[in-house]
Amino acid sequence: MEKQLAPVCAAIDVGSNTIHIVVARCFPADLEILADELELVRIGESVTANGMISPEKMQAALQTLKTYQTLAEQYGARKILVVATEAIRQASNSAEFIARVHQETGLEMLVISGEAEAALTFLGATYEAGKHAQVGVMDLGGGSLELVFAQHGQIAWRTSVPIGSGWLHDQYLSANPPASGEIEAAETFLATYFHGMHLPHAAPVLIVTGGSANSLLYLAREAFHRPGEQTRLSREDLLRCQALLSALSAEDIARIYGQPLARARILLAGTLIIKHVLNQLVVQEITVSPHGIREGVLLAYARSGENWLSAVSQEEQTEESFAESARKTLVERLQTMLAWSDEVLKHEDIEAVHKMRVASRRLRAAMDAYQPCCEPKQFARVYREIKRTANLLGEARDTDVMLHYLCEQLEGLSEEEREGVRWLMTGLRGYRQQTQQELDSFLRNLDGKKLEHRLKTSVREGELA
Amino acid sequence: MAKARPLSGLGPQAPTAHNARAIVHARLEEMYAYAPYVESPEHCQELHDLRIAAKRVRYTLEIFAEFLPASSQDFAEELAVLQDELGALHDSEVMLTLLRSLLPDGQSTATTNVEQEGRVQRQKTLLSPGLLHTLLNVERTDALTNRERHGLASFLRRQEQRRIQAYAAFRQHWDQLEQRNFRAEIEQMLAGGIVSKEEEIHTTSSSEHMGS
Repeated sequence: MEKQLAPVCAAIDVGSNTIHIVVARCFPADLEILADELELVRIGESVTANGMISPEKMQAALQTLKTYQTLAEQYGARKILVVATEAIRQASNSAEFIARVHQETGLEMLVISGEAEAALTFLGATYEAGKHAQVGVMDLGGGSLELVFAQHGQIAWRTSVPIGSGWLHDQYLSANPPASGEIEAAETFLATYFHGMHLPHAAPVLIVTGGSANSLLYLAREAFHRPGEQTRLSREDLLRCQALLSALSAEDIARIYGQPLARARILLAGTLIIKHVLNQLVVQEITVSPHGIREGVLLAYARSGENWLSAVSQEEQTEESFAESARKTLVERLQTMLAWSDEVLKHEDIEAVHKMRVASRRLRAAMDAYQPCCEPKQFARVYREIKRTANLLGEARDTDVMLHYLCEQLEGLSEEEREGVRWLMTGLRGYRQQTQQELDSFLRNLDGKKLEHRLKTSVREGELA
Repeated sequence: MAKARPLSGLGPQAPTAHNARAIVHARLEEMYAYAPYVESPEHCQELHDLRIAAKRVRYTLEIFAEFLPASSQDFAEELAVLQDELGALHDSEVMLTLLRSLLPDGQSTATTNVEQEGRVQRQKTLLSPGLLHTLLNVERTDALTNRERHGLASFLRRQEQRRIQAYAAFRQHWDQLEQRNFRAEIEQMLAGGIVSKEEEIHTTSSSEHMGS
């Protein structure tokens, strides 16, 4: 009877790689899943390339949303909740996308914060796992991984790390199959990185969500004949998967074990990341969950109704840790500085050099402030690069200031002084041109994305409070 | 330029409000380490370092504005004024050094060896080698006419006056800040409103074992 009364709702998650729908009969602590489908739209691809959602991706996403809307209605969904995450947060034309979704489907798409995303993923990934005094949830995506640790159902520690399966593959494992030297380099990086994070040693149960973990579970079932109902992967399973993925090409993995080729390419990277997190946490196995943010949205809605998002956000409002505010502030300031680069390169307005220099100083000030929570070597490397940027901008700007000052003085000087000062100004203008050439060449070669990644990864984490 | 001193013992998972205060405190100490040089206008490098250190205090107050009492931003504004005054002093020093580099043969006013050594040192620290190389290019300086040279020498004397005025403006402001005990005011601001935060820190005991 209760089952009949519980409402059917749908949650759609518009992510970087996929658009994913779950339709379920919703109870405050449980879900009866009626449909679960995903479409590989890869909106993130165009956002990574151009900073915006391309017209083609927007059209494909709208088409998928319309199909899912029909699917939800077929199941009698009373409510369709749509959330969007990282790719839409990053896209410069997200407002246009949201407006078009509303115009063409009537659906209200909510772009949620990283904090709300972590809380909802945690809720979705753990609702089936029963009550644990201490549990960790890792959501491993293509570009990042989110780790959450909870004690007695309350989130006690969480972090977002800019290392994902796609990222690790692109950085270290480009050969097909990957060369042993490449794997060794990737493993050295991961071991050093996770060791530096000081992850909490307080989660005997680790639930892992995301495409890599679910594909690994599928691979283990296919390759090692693990029973279909098994959701756990031991350290030994991971090592066997690693051996298989290291030996075969992506095409062979896709053909023999029924994996999508795009997934087969990055699966070794995902395996290595999971293995290294296990090593760091001293955990012997993972539990793979097919659930995540969508199930979290449905449970939050079942508990709090229309205020579901603010209720989740309020639960999440804890005092910001030093490492969290470091990552947020440093990245914001780096982006502000880099945003001036195009203007400087246009040579249209000398104020652009001034603005970019001020932004570089503000970034360095923030780096000085947050240095205590950064990994020294990596931090020093980024700091040197920012300092070099600031110095080049400084030389150009200081010369502009001198020229401006001298120009202002000319009127009040004697004729003889004026002639001397004009001679000086000619020399300064020549030097200014040299500094601009050096600055141009430096800025054209500056890889902003790489710098941002290095900056983010230089921030250390701490232990569980 | 004086580097910001690396700080240790601040936990990555400690509340930002707690760490922010410790950092402002450390940067304030760095700034006041240059206070003894305020009375000596010839210590231009140290006064420049004072400016950089004041700027670090100001930026730190701004970076952590949301974690500090609202009055912290009044101090940041006051420091911005001080920074501008020291900036004007520095700019005039740079211009003087540049002009003296261009006029090495008696048209500058250095009289003793010590003064001359000091000027060579300033040339190294205040002017970029690339700038000097371009301006002191033999072909250019040879082409400098006597009239232009005299004009620059006369302009140099104006700059010496400008520097005296810039120092006087800074000094007057600094003395006012000393009279009202500016440093103690900032420290009081940092101490205010922290009690509850400290209590929280003790209950979570996060800062003790997270310093690594």
